[in-house]
Amino acid sequence: MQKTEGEESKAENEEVKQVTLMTSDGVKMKVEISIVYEMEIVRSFIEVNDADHSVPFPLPNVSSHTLDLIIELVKNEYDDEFMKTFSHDELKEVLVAANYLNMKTLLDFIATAIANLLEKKSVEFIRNFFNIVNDFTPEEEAEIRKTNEWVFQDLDED
Amino acid sequence: MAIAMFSSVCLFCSFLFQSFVILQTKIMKLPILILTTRREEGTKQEKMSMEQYLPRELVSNILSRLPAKDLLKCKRVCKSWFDLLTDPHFISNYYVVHNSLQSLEKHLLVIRRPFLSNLKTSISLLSWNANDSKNLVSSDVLNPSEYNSEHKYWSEISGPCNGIYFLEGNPNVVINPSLRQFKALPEFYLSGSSKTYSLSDHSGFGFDSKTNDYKVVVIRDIWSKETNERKPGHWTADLYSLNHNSWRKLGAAIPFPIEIWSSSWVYTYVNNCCHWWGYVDDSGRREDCVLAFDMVSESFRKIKVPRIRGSAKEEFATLAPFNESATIGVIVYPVRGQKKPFDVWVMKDYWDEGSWVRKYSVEPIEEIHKLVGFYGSNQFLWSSRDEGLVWHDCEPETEQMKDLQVHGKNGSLRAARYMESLVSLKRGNEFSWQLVSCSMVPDHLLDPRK
Repeated sequence: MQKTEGEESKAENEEVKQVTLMTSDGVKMKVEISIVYEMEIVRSFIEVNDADHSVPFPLPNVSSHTLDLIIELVKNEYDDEFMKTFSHDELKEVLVAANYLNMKTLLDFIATAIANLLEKKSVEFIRNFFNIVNDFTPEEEAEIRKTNEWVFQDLDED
Repeated sequence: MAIAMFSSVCLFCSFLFQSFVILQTKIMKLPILILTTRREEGTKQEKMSMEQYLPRELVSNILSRLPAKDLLKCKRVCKSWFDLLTDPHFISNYYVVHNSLQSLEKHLLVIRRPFLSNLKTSISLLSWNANDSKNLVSSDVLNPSEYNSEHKYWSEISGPCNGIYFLEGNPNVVINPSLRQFKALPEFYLSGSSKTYSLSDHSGFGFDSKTNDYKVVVIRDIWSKETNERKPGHWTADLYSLNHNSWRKLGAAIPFPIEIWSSSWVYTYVNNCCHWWGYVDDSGRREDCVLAFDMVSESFRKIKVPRIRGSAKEEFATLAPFNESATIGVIVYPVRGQKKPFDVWVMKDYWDEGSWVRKYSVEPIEEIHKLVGFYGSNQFLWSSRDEGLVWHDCEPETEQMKDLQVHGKNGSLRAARYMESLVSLKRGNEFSWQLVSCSMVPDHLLDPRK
């Protein structure tokens, strides 16, 4: 997101409090404390321990790429348009990370986005999205389909 | 029921959340060394986890946001999803979570008789968004394939009870519109003796959580065939059970004399009890009171009401649920033509007859005719003078009246809040075939897309 001139100079003049996070791929990232505070898991640690912010806080389940996406989403105040540029894998990674970091607003936002994406889609599309292998026998699947035939009509194209 | 379910879900969630935070904090206090030595495995682990399924709680979180129709489809995805979507805990959580997420989306199930010339009733689903300034209302008609005969009609709607509705008419049906399930009830068991008959009846609908059963209770007045006179204040009672798919006579009937003003148009199902607005005759003077029927104990109870309205000729009174269905209240409003404010009375403690208070009053509204629905603590649904449906939000900052562009004839308009639900009406295999499925088609009487 483009910063206005005023914001830019403010950022330069005032030292914004930052916390260093270490991602699963070993990247150290300095993140503004206002964003870090949305991560309940980090926040509770910082508040309880009054930790030295210069020591990187490890996030063994979050990659640097995923953390980048999360920071941008929070900075952009959860912008739908920005999120539409995500791949399916990125959506899932952000979902898992939001859950792990215990970011409630982000988790709601991303879960809603994924639900909207899946609505009115075919079963095959959904399996594909979650990398799920169909473990029903063809007979079992046909039986389930038969009991609710009407739900398989009027689906969107994948 | 809903509130009990909701609070237990909240409790459970907060418990989960707390233990999660504690657990995480503990892990975080472990030496960082362990974590850094595993750093190189990180990418491999991550790849693995993306190939595996998401944790069940995340799948459940996403699926709770989808309509019931999509979830029926999702049962086919794989065995673990099928297990999740048929798990009774998921089904009851879904009802609370999904419907509470839809706070801006308004959905009503409406029955109306559009034409004077026939009795055919339409059941439609009205939807709009509270934030939509364009005032668009969409409507779809539920079209049960086997009930299109001119002789079929519905006149009253009770529900939602876990997403299930009872429609009174010919035939009486219980439905789950989200699953497109219709089930016709068998003919009434005639409880009157050969010496009596009945002219009027009132029904109630609810759920018995002990036996996981949906029940309909019908009370009927008693007339003597010999003298053609009514036994005032006395009623017989019959009960339908979905589990047994049959009617039976309630032995005790109503153990005290009472009269019923009329069946309420607002579904007032609170603490396992359905309610009727009635009165008792106190040496010639009519004292308003409430008749309650407990669906679990199958017993009747009388609830005293203080003098909350002038006279029945000048003011209507309608029962309504309050505080997320924790207690009951009464909305007192002027009979047509009278310009008066209306009062909202609430029983602060459902188990204390002495706890009735006047909660608030609303300025007179000219257009209103009869109260059709009541939601939250201050959202009203009225039928107007020309029998149009009007949404009336009395929230101080967002107060508005909204014409829902739907009209009834001859007092046929009834409405209930629509709730998505996965609760099935199926009871074992032997009844499955008796369920009629139905389609949902655009409503030609109201179609803004045209």
